[in-house]
Amino acid sequence: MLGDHSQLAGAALVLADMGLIGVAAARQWSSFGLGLLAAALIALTPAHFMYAHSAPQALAILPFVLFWLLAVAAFERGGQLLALLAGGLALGIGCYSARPAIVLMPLYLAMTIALAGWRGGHRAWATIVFAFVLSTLPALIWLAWHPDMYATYINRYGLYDASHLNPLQGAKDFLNYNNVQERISIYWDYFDPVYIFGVLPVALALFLPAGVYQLLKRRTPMDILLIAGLLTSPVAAVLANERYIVRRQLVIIPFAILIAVAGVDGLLRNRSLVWRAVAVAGLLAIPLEVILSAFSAL
Amino acid sequence: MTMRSRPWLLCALIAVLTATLYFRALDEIPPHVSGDEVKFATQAAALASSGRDLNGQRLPLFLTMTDPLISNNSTNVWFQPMLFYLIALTLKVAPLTEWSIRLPSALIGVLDVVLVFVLARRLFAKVWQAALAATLLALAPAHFIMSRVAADYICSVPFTLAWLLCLVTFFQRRDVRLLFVAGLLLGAGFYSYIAAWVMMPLYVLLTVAVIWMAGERRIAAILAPVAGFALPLSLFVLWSINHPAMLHDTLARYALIDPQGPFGLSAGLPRSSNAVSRLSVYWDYFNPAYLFLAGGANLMDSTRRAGLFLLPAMAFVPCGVVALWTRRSEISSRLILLGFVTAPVAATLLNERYCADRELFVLPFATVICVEGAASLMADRRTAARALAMALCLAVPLHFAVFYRDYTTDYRARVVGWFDPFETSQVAEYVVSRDSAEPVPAVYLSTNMEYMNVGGYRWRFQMLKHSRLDLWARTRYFAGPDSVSQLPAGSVIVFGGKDPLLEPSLETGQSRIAKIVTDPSGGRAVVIVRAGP
Repeated sequence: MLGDHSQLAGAALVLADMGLIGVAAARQWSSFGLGLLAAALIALTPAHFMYAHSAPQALAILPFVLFWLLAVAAFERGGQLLALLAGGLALGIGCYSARPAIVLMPLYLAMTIALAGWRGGHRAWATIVFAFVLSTLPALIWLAWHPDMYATYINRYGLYDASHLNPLQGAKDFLNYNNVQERISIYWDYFDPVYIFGVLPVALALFLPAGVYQLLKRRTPMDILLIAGLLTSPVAAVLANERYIVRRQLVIIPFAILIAVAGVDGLLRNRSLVWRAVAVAGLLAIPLEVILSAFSAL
Repeated sequence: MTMRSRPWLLCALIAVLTATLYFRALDEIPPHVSGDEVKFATQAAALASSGRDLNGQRLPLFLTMTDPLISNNSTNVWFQPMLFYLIALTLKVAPLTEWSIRLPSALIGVLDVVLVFVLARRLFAKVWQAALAATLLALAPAHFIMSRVAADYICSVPFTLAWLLCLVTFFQRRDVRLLFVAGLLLGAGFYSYIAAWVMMPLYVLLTVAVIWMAGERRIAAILAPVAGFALPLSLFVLWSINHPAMLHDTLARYALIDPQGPFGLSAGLPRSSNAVSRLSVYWDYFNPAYLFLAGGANLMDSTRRAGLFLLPAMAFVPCGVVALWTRRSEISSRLILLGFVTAPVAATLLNERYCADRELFVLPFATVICVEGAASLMADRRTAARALAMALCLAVPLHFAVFYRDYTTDYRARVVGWFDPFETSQVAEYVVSRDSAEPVPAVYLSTNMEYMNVGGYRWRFQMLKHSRLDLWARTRYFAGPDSVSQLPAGSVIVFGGKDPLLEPSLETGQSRIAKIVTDPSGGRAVVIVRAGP
């Protein structure tokens, strides 16, 4: 019975992610076809597919991230503060969704403040901070009543010895030469092509760099935000000192897919027939990978 | 007359400063002599004295590393010839010491610095950029460390630099003879270090590719580097025909062929799963922690407290890559970027992760990229960018000072066990002094000191250093505790500190501990036992 509920939750999350990323891509690149492609890509992403079946709770963070992206994009287009309010609430509520969210949502808040500050001034960033604080208030009150929980969390993920060091001493301890070296190494390994294209569809090995290239050429605030999201996706895993742990980096999926869709768009619009042919071959490789995986699973 | 008007004076000054830095305390740091160093030294000494290696081969092209203490010993380990002959030339004029055997590597290091200065003069407009290139290479921890050991890792770098110089000059003058010389240098460099077997042919392909990209369509221009490369390589072909074991042994040793596999094909190359795992190895060679913070995994290649490059390079390299990518229509930009991304190919092919000595080919390319990065920051309109470039340039000597302090102090203690865990120099001094007081009939080395065929080489190096080849002639491997009673009284048996043969040998009652040699941490490195009741 519990298994049925879990599968139902998994299916609901898949549908929510497909819908949200489809809308995000269609709006961002002004193409219904690219929206459909993004929705198909997220459904066919190996890590997304597997977690939807085995541990859907790990995917719970994704709808919040996607909703936040939609809200920021809406603010970026129309400048409505209401969109930022919704984005801030999504980030705040998202903090309760999965463990990496505790690190990632404040990070996304900081990224939004930078973007909102640049685009809309004080009112914009005050709005998103207000929404975020409002939705995280229960957690802050709870933490105030249970101060030992902070130390438990810090100790559990080996950030520093929270039972003996205060946060400032902990930060100093964390930033020692060997630790920094080790964490950079872990961060680098989260972009190891062998690992990352086991998490994402193999065809993204073509479309992701092409997308990054496209976004860097345009460099709109949303483009920068997507690249920043991609680059910061392993932060929670790095802080927890965990190498190659997919569930800690699942937020890479929406960013990678949205960027890859930009790559597909760029390649299909390329003047060179060769690049257009490569893009078509890459797109055809996606269902082929699914069929091959299904065969090997059987 | 200023440095600006006479750049060669500046180059000479940097070369002198580099030599001072590289030659200083060459016999003391790193401490002791490593396993590879004693092999180079003893074989080179044999070549210098008789023109034959320790196996009796006259002027061999490749040298096989059989244990000199075991007659008719066989091994699949073959070494490249270049450094043996360079050390042999040094030993023609200098006695065998730690300093003299490391001198050729240090000289190569200084030559690299001069070459990179000349290369940077060709690539960049300003003298300070050439000076920065020379300084960055001279102070790069990997270059500094590898130039201070008598091992051939550094030997490929001058060939890579000289090839680059020829190629860059060709693009400016379009003189085909330069391409022939470039090929010739790659062909000669083929004999410098094992990784050159992969990298030099790759650079020939790269040469042909870039001259084609540059719009050069003359057949002579395409053929010149290939012909230049083929000339020195003909020696390799002839040698391989006469010594087929060398090629077979070397390829099998690095798992590039599988003698048991079908058609002797590689166990490591063609399978897709291996190719995928190699991609991961390749990726790690661009790990910033490896490049700028920790360096190679082997403590003999790195202090593990500094990367291949100094910390300022962490900012210069990305800026340089962006600058070169922006100017990718220029052929020199493509050449440098291609050189940078192909630098780990040999190490990746051998499936070795974070192996700095296999990837020293990255040094010339990364140095040029750093200078490009510094130049792009200095040319930036924003004052902050220019200030950052200045600060980073100033940080180069500062970070080197921190690295150098560690290298000359703590690193010595950390690495001593890696270079010689058996403190062979102390053992040799003891045995030589005892022999002058009371003749030692024979010296027996425990077979547990034979690891990697090095025990015999270590001992031979010490005997050569002390000019005591008579003691070498009286040295054997220890046959085991059962033979203790048959050893001539007063013979010396040398055991490793944790040698399992030690206790049984003492329990025979026919031997006694004469001296315990300790390592710098106070641990028992070696136990010297004398035979007799």
